[in-house]
Order: sequence, then C-alpha cells, then structure tokens
Amino acid sequence: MIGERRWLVMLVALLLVQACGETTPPANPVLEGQPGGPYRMTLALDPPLPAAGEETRLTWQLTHSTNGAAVTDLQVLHERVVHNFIVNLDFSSFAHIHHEDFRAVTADDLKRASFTLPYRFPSAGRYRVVSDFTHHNRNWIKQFDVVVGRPDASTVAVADFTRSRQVDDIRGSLSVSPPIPVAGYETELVLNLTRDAGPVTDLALILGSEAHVALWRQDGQHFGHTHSYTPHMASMLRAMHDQATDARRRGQMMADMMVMMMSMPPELVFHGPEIPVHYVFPEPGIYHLFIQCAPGGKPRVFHFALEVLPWREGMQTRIDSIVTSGGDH
Amino acid sequence: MQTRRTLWLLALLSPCTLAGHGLLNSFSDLQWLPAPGRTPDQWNYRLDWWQEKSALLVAGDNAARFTLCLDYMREKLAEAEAMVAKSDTEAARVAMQNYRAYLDQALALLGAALKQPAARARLALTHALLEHQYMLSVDYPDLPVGPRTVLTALMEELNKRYMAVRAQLPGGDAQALFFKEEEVRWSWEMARRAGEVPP
Repeated sequence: MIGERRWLVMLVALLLVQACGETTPPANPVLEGQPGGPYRMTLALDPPLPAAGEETRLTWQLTHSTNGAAVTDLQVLHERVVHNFIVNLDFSSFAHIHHEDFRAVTADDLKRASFTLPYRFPSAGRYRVVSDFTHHNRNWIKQFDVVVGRPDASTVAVADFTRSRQVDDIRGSLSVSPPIPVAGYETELVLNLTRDAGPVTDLALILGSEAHVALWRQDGQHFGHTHSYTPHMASMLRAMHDQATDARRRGQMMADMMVMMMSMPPELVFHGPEIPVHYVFPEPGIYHLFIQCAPGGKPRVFHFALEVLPWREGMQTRIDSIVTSGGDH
Repeated sequence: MQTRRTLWLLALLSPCTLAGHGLLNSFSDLQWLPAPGRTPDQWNYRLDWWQEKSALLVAGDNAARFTLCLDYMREKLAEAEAMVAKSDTEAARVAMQNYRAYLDQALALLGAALKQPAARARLALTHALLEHQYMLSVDYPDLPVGPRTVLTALMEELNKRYMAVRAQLPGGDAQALFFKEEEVRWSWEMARRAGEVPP
C-alpha cells in the first residue's frame, strides 16, 4: 500500500514538472557570442526571460580569449565603440543601437570593456543580436540568439521582393546591378530617395556615413554591415583588381589603408537622391537588407529582400555602376 | 609610380570600408577551430590516429571519406596551434604532418569517384583552405613569437596548395573566390604587423 502511494506521489511530481516545463519559456542565460576566435564576448539579459514590449537591459562584456582580461583599448568606428544590430529572425523588426545612444561611455566602461543599453523587443520571437567592434585596426563581430516570450513555432520569414518602400514621407526605391546578384561577385545596390515625388537632396550623415546597411541571409546566417560606396572606394577596388600589382603587395596596401584611415573625419559625399552601396554576398540565398539613412537629418530604415544566385556559366556579373572612380559624384 | 598612386587612393577611403566592417565579410559565419582534444604531446595521441583511420575505413563512400578528411584537417590545425601555444614545436610539427596527410588524402579522393560532382568537392576544399589560412592569420599574433614561425611556413604552403586546387576550378567559380582571397591576404598582413609586437 505504502509502495503504491509512493508511486502515486512520484507520478504526480513528474506530471507537475512536465506541466511547469510546458508553461516556462526557455531561459536566456549569459550568452556566449559566436563565432569564437581571439575575443570572448558575453551578453547578459535582465530579466533573463525578456517579454515582448517590456524593457530588457542588455549588457555586453568583451575579454581576450587567451587570458580572460578585458579588452581595454577598443577603437571608435563610425562614432561608436560597439555597434549592435538586433533583428527578429522573421525579419519583422530591426534596430541599430549603441550604448552611447543612452549615455556616454565612461573611462570605467572602457576599462571593464562592458557596455549596456535598455531595449524593448517589439514582439515575441527568436532574435539575433550582432555586436560589431574594432580592435587593433581590425573589425570583429559576435552573434547571440535571444528568445523573447513564447515564439510561435509556425512563424516563418517571408521575403517581399518589392523594390520600392514608403517610410514616413520618403519613398525609397532599390536598383541592383547586375540585375541578379551572384555570390562571390560585387553587387551595386542603389537606393533612390524621393519626397512628394521630388528627389531628396538633403541627405545628412548618420553615424559618419550616408547609409548603414545591415543584412542577413534568410536563415539568419551571413551577416554583413556596409556603407555608401564612394568614388574613392571605386578607385580602390579598381586598383585591387589590378593584377599587375603583386598579390602580397595588395594585402599590404589594404592593411596600410586600414591603419591610415582610422582617424579620418566623416565626409558627406552623396547629398541624394541616390546612395550607392557595394557588397559581395558570400553565399547564394535570399537576403534581407535594412538600409538606414537620414533624409533631412531624420533616420529612416528601408527593408528589402534580394535573391542571390550561385555562379553559373553565362551569368552576367558585370556592374553598370553609377559611381565613377576618382572624382566627386 | 602606380603603387604610390594606389596608396594615395587608399588613403582617401573611409575607415574599414573594405574588410570586416564593410564590403567584405567573407568569414563572418566561420566555424572556428574545434578544441584540440588529444594532442601529439600526450602518450595516448596514437589512439586518435587509430580512431581516425578506422572511421575512414568504415565510411560508406568516398564522399563521406572526403568530408572526414576536411574535419580531421581542422582538428590537426587546432592541435598544431595548441602545441605552438605551449611552445612545443616538435609536437606542432607532428600535428602539421598529420594535417598534410589528410589534405593529401582529400586531394586523392578528388580524383576518385565521388557522389557529389568533383567540381563541387574541389570548391569545398578551396573554401576550407582559405578558412584555415584565415584562422591561422587571426590566431597568429596571440601565439608565442619564436615557436609560431612553424605556422608561417604552413601558411605559405597552404597558399601554394590552395592556388593549385583553385587552378582546376571552372573560371567563374575561381573568380568568385577573389574577395575571399583578398580578405585572407589582408588578414595575414595585419597578423604579421601585429606580430611585430610580442603578445
């Protein structure tokens, strides 16, 4: 009899545990940034189970993988120490956000290599947070996956290939060259902005560039972050393709450029209506692009989707560029 | 004159517009080297060798063997780096020798019948060789100054072997690797410069 009661108690306990498991969403412990490498970045969430629409504090810490010491000499790039991109993996929301947007980075923050900000995840879902930092003239990214609320397992990312978007009073139209981007080859993306059917000519810099583009493949892989493509960059790319220059020398020149350019002041090259961007999509697939720019000084984000194909015999990879190298646009 | 002009043009670029934070992000989703596991300085390292040989022997087909060779190359590279970090260059050389053996086997399998088209397998190998060079270049500055010279030699050898495989790719596939190659070159150059200052 006692034995039967013990089994009954155990069965009830088991059912309770199972029931609790069903009602408790998965927790986000301190998250470890991926990929690995010489730096370790962690992301702590407070509360550890963020709820949609409620404030969550995100705190990052960056250390050297080899000895666990804080990375104390981070460089400022595009006016921020760490750039963070937060995207719902169904691509329904996007944010480009920084510690400095809320309060100045202090000497103590830099000494501890610890940065924090509040964020409200707009809806339940699976999010990817990408943090981008610069150290010793090299740029690095770390990615984290965050679960918010109780994601609907049936939600899938949908790609809308429409090439024109209205955000507030601004219409952004995207043109692409070559018309079908090919993985491994350069693609030129041009955002054309209009306001009340007239061209936008009052573009302002946003974080040191006319445009910030964050992109992911639809499976959440292959994050990229790039900016407007200037005539000087066009000249550089032409030089890079110059096979007369020794390959090792090309690597040295690129490294020289990185070192020299860290302290260059930002410059507004494109006033509108067009902002060209170049990118090399690393792999085929459907990509989601979030282009952030500031017509009239007010930041706006345009979301587009593009299909990138693998190279096949006979494909067009040539770019009909609107950017002429060497001079002003 | 041409070089000076190019350098001048480079100087006009905005910061980091090319690699990493910019146009090129070829390695943003790189799967980093695994934990080294058993290393050549351990008495039971031979067990690894037996396990690997057995796995290759019982693998279902050449495609599976090819994939295993790529996995083992990553493991051997991790072992080599771990041994350099411990300043044990002899053990690092053993790991590198094993790395070469698996690379040779992968190349030999390319000539054999594979389920996947040989061109696709060859492309996978070129990507692997570029990724290995990139990871070596990233880890290099954190390794002890003297012992890491063994990896410099490996880096140069990998580049030569990569170029040999690349030469057998269809033109468009090879051309699509251009930016990845440039990023590796840039990364290696940055590593050498960082390496001028002992970590």
